Amino acid sequence: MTAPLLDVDDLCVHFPVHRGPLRRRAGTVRAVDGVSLQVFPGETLALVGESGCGKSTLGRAVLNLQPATAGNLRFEGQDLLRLGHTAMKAARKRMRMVFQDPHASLNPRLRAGEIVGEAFTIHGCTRAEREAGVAELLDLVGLGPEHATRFPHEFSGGQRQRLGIARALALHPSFVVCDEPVSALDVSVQAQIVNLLMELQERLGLAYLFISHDLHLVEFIADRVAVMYLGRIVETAPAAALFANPLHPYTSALLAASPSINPDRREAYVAVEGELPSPLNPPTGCAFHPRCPMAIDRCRAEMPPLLAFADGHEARCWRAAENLDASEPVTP
Amino acid sequence: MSEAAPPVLAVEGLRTRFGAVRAVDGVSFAVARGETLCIVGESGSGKSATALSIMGLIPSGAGIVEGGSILLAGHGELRGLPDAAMADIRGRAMGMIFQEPMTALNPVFRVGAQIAEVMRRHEDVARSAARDRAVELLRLVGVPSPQSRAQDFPHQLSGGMRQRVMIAMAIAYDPALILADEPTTALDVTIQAQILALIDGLKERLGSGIVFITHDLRVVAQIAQQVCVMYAGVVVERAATRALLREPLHPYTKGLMASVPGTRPRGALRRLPAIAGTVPNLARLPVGCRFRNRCPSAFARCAEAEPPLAPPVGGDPDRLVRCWLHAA
Repeated sequence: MTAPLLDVDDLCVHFPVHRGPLRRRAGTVRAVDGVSLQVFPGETLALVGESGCGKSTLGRAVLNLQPATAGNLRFEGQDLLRLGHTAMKAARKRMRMVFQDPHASLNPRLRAGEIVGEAFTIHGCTRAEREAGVAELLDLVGLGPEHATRFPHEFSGGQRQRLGIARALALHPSFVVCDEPVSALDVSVQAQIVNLLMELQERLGLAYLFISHDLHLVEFIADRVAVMYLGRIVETAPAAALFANPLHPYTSALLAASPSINPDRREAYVAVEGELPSPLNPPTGCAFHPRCPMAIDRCRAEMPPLLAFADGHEARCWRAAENLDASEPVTP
Repeated sequence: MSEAAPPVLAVEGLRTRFGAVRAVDGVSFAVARGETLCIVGESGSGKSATALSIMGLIPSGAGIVEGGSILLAGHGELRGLPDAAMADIRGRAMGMIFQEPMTALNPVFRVGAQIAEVMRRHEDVARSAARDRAVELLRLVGVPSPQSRAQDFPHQLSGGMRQRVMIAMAIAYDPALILADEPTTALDVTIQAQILALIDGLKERLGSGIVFITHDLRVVAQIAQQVCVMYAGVVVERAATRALLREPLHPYTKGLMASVPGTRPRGALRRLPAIAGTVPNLARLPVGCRFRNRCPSAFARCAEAEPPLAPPVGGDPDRLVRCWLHAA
């Protein structure tokens, strides 16, 4: 088995909450609370969940853009949380990010060439290296050299996201966090960008952490999927297994709430009750139990661990085995 | 659709212009009571401008509804009505639900008071009676503990709850028509499913006709009886939902459907069928068919003249398509 490119172990990102005139500490939001995951070279791990579940915070934390409160974070064998400034800067060449909103994530005062070429300057490349790099990157994402002198407002939404991708690919990264890269785009343009991301992955051997709330897209693009709920991973599995046989009731609820394009499947389109609880005051036991149709007394009292099933399928649910066709959990 | 019941809303040849941009360029459709009609399109298709035109909310100075007719059952022609008369119709005969409930609600007033204000705007009702009815409406739209939620400010509510408040305002007078402009686009799928179920339940209960604007064909598949597909200011295809999604006729509708992930199993070549190019600039439309520059089936005739919106030759007479491939 190959070594993971990114190895996240028991990572926590907690935010203190201050209230009142004296700004007393009123509590803690556990945005990411004990997450472990691995991303292997060249694969796409999708991270799905409702807004507020901590998926974007986790995406920033694995790049060390958001300091972790606790846990371990290894990237290409290096311990990211204990790297010095210079070593961290070097590691950043290899791990990049594509943001959701191509309107907000590009500096409106810089020309496209400057936006894409910034990384070359930061990492001390010569002007010639930079210009060659920018031309190559623009070509890679389907833009022409004439686009280098234009400003972001002169591009369409899809072209802007191409610029965002070109910027992320400067200096040959091995790992890219894509935080909802197509959700701000029109449907017909979404497909172009998804195709570009897949093509680049094949050509450059990139690994993606693909954050999304669109389960249909995830089914299409991901090799493996991790489902997050209130700061924790509740299920993780190879994409095919997760969609064929979801073990956590929350995953089933997300799938049932994702509308199908088939008008004959309206019966199967069912809304799970309730909303994501406040992360300041999470429920006892399993965080999903107030909304869960399968909840029993044990779920209210005790937080289930991630139970391991066959073929890398894991679920944080006391009753997960009942959703599995016919097998027993392996020791967690 | 059956022609027996007169439509709640009949739009005919609607044309709306913002300066040189013809955002809506001859749009026609009708909605019956108890029916949901979806207008689906990408940004720049004119779907929101169509809704704003119907509501009489095109800001004067920026744009003008320059042609066509908008007939609302019981009120007659809406186009050209004075602002005061339109304001009476909005919120009473016509309920409106917008995309972003945070910007549509006033941040400095409690939500109960904002719902009550709708009633006090339309009739002479005591403040306390209006407040009581506001709480009732919140209960009707599924807000838990409505009595105390009515005392909340918009920022204290989740996105889903804020959208329920918007819906409570929209249905205060059992409107014959509800116009919903991307009401679930800003919401999570789980909350989207809840809100769509709520809107569908209210439609059954109130017997309203619904014009639902969306960019998402999957939402269309789940809620609509009829669909208008808009592209660059015109309707390119109009049909019953099942007919349209089973057998799309216009190349644009086909392209939109194919580019939705999850419509086909992931093949060996991991690619989505994408529509080439982008939505055209409405101020510089191509001559002939507006879609021809992106169309995989375009031929000489497409550049000569714009095709009419007509039943497909030799096909279902109840549906309409704007394409030379299906025209006489």
